[in-house]
Amino acid sequence: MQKPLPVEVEVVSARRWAKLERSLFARWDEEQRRASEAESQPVRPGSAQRLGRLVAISAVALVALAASVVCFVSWHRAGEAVALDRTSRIATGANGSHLSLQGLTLDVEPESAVVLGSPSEHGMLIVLDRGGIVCEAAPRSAGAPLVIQAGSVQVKVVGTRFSVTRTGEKARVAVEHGVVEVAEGGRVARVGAGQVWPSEAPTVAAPTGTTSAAAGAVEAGVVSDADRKNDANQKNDANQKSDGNQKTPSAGAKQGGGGAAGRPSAYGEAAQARFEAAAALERSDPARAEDLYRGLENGSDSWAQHALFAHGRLEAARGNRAQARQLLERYLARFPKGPNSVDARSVLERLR
Amino acid sequence: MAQSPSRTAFPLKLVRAPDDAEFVRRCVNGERAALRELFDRERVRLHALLFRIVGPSPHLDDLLQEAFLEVFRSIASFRGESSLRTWIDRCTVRVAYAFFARKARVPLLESLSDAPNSDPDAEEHALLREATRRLYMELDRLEPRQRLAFTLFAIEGRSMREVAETMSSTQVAARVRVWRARQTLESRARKDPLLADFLAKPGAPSEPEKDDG
Repeated sequence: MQKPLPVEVEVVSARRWAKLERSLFARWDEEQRRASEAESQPVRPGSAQRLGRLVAISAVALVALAASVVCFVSWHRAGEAVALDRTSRIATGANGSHLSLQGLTLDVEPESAVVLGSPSEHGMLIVLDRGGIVCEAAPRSAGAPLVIQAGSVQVKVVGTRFSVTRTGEKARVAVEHGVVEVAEGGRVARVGAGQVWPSEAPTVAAPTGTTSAAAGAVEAGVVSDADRKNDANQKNDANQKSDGNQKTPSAGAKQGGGGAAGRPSAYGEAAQARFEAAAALERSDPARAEDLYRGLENGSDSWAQHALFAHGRLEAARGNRAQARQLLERYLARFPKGPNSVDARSVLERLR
Repeated sequence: MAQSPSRTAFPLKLVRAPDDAEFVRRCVNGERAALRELFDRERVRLHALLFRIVGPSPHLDDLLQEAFLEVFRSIASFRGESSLRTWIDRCTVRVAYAFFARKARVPLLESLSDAPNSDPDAEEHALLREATRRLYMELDRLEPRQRLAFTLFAIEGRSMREVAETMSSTQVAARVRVWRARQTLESRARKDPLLADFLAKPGAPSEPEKDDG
């Protein structure tokens, strides 16, 4: 017997093993939960068993037929909508992925991995293994929440648009509208529209962009609009002196002529609307999305930052590597400490 | 420091039938402690096995989880005809095969890890890593079954009988796959001296052994 080729196996840190174990058993628990739900169907004893089986089979067939029709119709209506009948795993490579389910749209960012549990009357579980996702959930009943598990952080959703970004065991949640509950280590916090929740982050910058990458660092705990207003008032001067490029969207909106406390200006609202329109068009009409981003990215407010990064990311996703590199390098030159700078560097690194 | 590819580096043995039977029964009953024990006992070995089959890949953790889930799901079907360890390896190889098949349909951009090394032999290690990277680039182009057979035989260091058992194939089929993979790699190594050196390292398999038993 010959000796094997000298391929060195990578070393796995204790932390990575712990993460692996947690993620594995979370997936296993989800599978078991679904299995026990399936088994909890009543069993008919004795002579009625055969009849019961027949009825059950017929019912299942009817339900399956009805579900197929509903799925077919909704698929046609929603374009890309699909139905999950079992746990699904989505791992993205260089390109992100978009998924549309009933009442839920999910954008999985590049280099991310998520496990989707099948929706049931008890709700739905999504485990974020790595990377980031942007979710938009239709209003749900409190008894059937959408639950996102990202490391040790759990996000419970009733109906909202928000993003979750996982970095190791840390997670950041940015809510655009609606309310989510974030639980970690037994503590529960409600995060409302325009707020971000950091599980562990040292400094301040409160993003509300459409991409999860827009999530910046904030002080531990939830930062409300009012808190941010106060913070922004205190920090705007310092920001302008030290790093005029790094502004939060709310601060940027105020600089744009901010109206009522914490509310963006008319320009800010228009920019936000354009940005959101571009984000929504990324899949269906990427050329138009790029035009919209292009119109925003030359500005000086926070939406310019997001637009420039999103444009670069979109070009990367479309395989236009040279343009993507150019845009992301421009982003980093203009906003070296911007909320998307880490992601911009990582995408650039990949493009190289 | 990297672990040795030698199988002796993993002294975990799960081949004692009575223990296996009791352990399997506990796993089938869904005892969390037993499943965790299974994970603890097998994780390093399965990770090493997957690493040698797949190479440095960001998907390795996902694959390891998939492998364990496959084991957890299917353990009720373990009948003790082979050792538990062989059976687990078979599940793992199935997961790897499915990954290669998926990858063939949807190519994934993978970054190969190049961790900084403070070792005094850093240069040699860097060369080794580069050679390993090139080897796995070439392996990526092989037909999945050939790749599996070759990695199990030439990198994992298993006997042809074990390769066949793990891949649920005949020894003849396994030998042919290893041979074809080696032919392809050698023809590509003619244009790549670093890869050629790596494949020609002392002890590297030059010819598949004859069938065992």
